[in-house]
Amino acid sequence: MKDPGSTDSNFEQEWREALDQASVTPPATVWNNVDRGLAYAEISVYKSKQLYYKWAVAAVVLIAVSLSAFQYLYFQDLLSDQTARVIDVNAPDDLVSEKLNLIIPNRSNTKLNIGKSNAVNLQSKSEEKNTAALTIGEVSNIFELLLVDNLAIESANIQANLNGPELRSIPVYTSNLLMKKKDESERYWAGVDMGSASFNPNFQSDGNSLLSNSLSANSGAFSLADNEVIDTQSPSVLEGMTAGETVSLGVNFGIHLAKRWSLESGVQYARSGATTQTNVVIQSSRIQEVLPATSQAKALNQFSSVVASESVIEYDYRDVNLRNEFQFTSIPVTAGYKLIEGKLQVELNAGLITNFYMGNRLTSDDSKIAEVTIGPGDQSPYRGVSFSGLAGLQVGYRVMKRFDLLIQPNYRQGINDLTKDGTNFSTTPSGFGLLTGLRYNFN
Amino acid sequence: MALNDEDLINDCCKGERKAQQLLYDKYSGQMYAVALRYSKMQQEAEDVIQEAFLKVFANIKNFRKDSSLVYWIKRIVINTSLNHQRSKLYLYPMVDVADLKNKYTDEISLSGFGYEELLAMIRKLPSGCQVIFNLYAIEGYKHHEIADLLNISDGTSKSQYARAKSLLKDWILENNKISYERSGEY
Repeated sequence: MKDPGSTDSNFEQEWREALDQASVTPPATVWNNVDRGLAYAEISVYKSKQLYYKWAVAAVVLIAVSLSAFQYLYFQDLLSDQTARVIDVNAPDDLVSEKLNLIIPNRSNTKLNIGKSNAVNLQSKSEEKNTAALTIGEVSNIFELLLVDNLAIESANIQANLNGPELRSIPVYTSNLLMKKKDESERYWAGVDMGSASFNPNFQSDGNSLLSNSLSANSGAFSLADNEVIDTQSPSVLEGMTAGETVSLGVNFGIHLAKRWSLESGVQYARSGATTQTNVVIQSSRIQEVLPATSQAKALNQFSSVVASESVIEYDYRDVNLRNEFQFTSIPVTAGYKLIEGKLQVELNAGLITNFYMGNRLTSDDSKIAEVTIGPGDQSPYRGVSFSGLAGLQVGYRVMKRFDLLIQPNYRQGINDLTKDGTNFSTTPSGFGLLTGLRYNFN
Repeated sequence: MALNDEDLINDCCKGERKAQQLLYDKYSGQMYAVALRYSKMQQEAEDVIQEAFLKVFANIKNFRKDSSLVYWIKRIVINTSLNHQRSKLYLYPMVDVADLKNKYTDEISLSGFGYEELLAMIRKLPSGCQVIFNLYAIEGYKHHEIADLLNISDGTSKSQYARAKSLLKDWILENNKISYERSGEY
């Protein structure tokens, strides 16, 4: 209800009728700014994803370092204690005794008890001074024997009484999960993988003017010198390329070189997206759409000829965001060092990736902006072959008899520029990624 | 491509730029006219529209379809305009204007005034008067709602509105007089 004191309600009514339904078209620059704002919002989503990858990698690296440190300390302890180890086994079970005698001949005073509840009591008699010490290998063998599978007893409830001072460092937590060795005959593997990663192009531009020498060096492209359609001032190109995402799919194969070392290679197909931004477009009478002025397109003969020809009619300042999708075929070669072996495997990987550039495509949602597709070859500003370094941590889990499920957080860093020498911009991509895969092991 | 509001909303929720542009094209004219009423400068209105539409696209997933889309967008535009105006309102705090007696007993008609002239008059008002006139006379807010919105008293809202109305009537009569004198020359 309106102010009851009002004496002239027609006054408000008239104003409302005159103005409430009015419509005034805003300048085109407003939508351009909104469009740019939306693009930045999308980029911030990518950035948050990138942050996720970083945290995932950090978490897995932390776990791996902790496990490695524990493993290292465990072996140190075992080595320092090895001369004091004495295990008395007096196995009531024939099978166990037989197996123990095979492992540790001439050690009849070693005592192993299997209780009523299938608990295994391993007792040491440290007071028996005459008993010879066991070697590390013997201790390990005894523990393998104590595993449920090897004893062939129906129990998942094995408890080892390891209170004796000589046995304190034997890892009772070690269950089949960590200790069960893989089939020694599995020497090779082959698998498939797919992954997602952040893609930071690390774009750097050498020139920022359409008239700068670096930009006008090639066929006068982007130069206003001949036409000077806008004015005699040099229009500044503010060009950038912001981060996006990579998705990849591949096959891999590898070989176990030694107990802990392995070598892996494969082939991957990857699509890497980024956002290219420019503030200048070129209107030509030859084509209906406007051409975004980007350094990437400058080197193309078709593009240069359009720009350099008499038919160029206008340069215009306009903020344009273009999806820039690269395609690569990559061949990674990595060496792996196993930190943990068994059903659960943890492996450090590092190596080199050879990237074969297959082309990139610049597209926009705006149908008035021309798409630009660049392929490999002389005209492309990008190298046909570039190299990246890779470091990561691979965690595997044996899901079936010969199949491992893998997850690998990693970091990739370009070693050389993706762009050719003499190009007026450079990009050396990097990014955090997460690779998942399935591997089949065979002889 | 003609899409109804529901389709536009669904597509905008998916982040489709084409749909966002269509929605902008459909409502930006009406919303720009609103922003112009609350601003002093054209640039300011453009900033408001830009900011408001970014808010619209960021929050369109939260739009409940129990109200109309145009009303929802308009509320965002008005709130954004008020945020822009608030700094000025603090710079020039609104105080109660001494009671203005209604010096115009006759009805004053706006007939003969075009949109541009009326808009110019509103934008000529002092900032506080301009905001309150828009909210009360055009948007239909009540004085206690305006008071809550701008964190002022009901009395301040009423007196600022009375001041705005008085100024507008002065200018209308002045313009009418000039027009009358000009027509008398012939």
